[in-house]
Amino acid sequence: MHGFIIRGIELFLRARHGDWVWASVCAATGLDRRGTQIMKHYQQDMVQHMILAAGAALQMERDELLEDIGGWIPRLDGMRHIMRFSGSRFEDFVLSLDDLQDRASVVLPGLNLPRITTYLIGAQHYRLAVQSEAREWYPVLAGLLRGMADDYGVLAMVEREGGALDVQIADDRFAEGSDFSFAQQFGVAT
Amino acid sequence: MTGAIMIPVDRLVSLMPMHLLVDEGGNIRSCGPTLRKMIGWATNIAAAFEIRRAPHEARILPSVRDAAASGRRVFLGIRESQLPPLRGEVTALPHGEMLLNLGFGIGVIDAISAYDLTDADFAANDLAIEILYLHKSNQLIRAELSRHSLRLEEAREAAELQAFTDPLTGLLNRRGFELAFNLALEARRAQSDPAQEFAVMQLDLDWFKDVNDRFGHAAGDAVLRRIAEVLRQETRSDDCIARIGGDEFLILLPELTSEPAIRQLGRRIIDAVQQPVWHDKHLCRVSGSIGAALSTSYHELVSEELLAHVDEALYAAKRAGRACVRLHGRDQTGIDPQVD
Repeated sequence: MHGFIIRGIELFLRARHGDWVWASVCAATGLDRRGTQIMKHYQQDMVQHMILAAGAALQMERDELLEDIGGWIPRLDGMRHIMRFSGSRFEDFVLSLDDLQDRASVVLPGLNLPRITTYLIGAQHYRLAVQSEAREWYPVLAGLLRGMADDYGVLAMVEREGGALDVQIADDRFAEGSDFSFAQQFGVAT
Repeated sequence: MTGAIMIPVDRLVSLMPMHLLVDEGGNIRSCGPTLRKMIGWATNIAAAFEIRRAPHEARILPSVRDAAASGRRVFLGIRESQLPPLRGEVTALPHGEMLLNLGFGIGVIDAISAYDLTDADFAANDLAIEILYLHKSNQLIRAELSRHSLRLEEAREAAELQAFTDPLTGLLNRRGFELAFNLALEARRAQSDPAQEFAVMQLDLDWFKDVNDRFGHAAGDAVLRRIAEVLRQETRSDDCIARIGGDEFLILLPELTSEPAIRQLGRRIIDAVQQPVWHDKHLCRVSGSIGAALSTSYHELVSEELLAHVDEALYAAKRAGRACVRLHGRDQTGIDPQVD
């Protein structure tokens, strides 16, 4: 498993639940307590071990924990900015998730994110299919979509529907989205 | 076959948000909205741009016209801007009009910042947003990688420290001392300068074995830690102190060349070493003997020779009844015992 994902889960656990959870995950999995490495390769089922150990420590269901991870990603400023490059509206963002795998492999070769196929199935209504054996991706993606909807100021319903995710925008003027400008990301205008 | 096609000027806006349509006098007839953000209210191409990558005397309008005729690219710097030049192609239209379609090079990242551009400012087929995406992603990954190399560096330093440190006292170990000593020898060899002279002192504890035997190793360790503390207090920060065996210590004293000074220092150390140490209700008493040598006593200095002489001086101190300092070459350090 790519260190990028392992490190992401580590950062989530430490930021959201504190170092004690991280310590117990390390005790259960043998990971380095001082921190994991983004360029290291970890054993294939490490994510499952980490989620299992963290779930036991926090007394949380697996899917709930995975959704929290997805929802936490947009709270990282750097990640949120990168996500926002995909579209100026939430629906552009949703539909552009079919770029995600290719974008990721350009930035970090070897980081095999699953391919996501996006379908427009009605007015402001989308279906996302994740092509992966790992069951962990759907809850993470659902959490991510809810988090990004918040960020765009859109009320979206995200439901697991058969073998896919169903996303419906209820009201795209639900709230003021957070301000976003590319310029902010590259320093003050000169 | 070539045929004329008609495009309404307002469609140019979305097809080419960085276009410029000028008449034969260079007056701007139409300007893409993204380009407009950069050139303000300029009404003539020469007011907005200067020609780049062209001969010094080149003037903008003839150069643009040449480019249209030859099919070469033009490079236009925005006046009063530090951005790299915009680059593009020119097409000649009827009535002397010319259509330029411009783009950023690598300047796109700075341009976005300078003019607060958004993805709506770029044509759908423009890769500007992808460049941004890569740029931002790389920043994040680089931050992670530098954290990684910092960790490696710390680990390397810790390993190095461990390799040269005595874990009980935190002083140098024999390897650490040898390293410092060899550096001092090399520096002296390379440069004949009083600042490169030094002294070496060896301290051997007396009655330490008794403490160990009577009160146990923990008491012995407490004494050794206390001695390390004494040595740190009595020496200067750039002196190197090492524990090289059970109860043996070596001290390298850079720039120390005075015989009275080294005797005085040795005396102070012995006095401090003789202060009893309380450990677990036991009063532990040790003493120490010191042998020393000054590098100024030598012309050519060989490391083994100097350390052997220090050792001889130490034995002379032991034979002289312990708790004293002997200096190689200044005191009798041969077979005959000598009273301090």
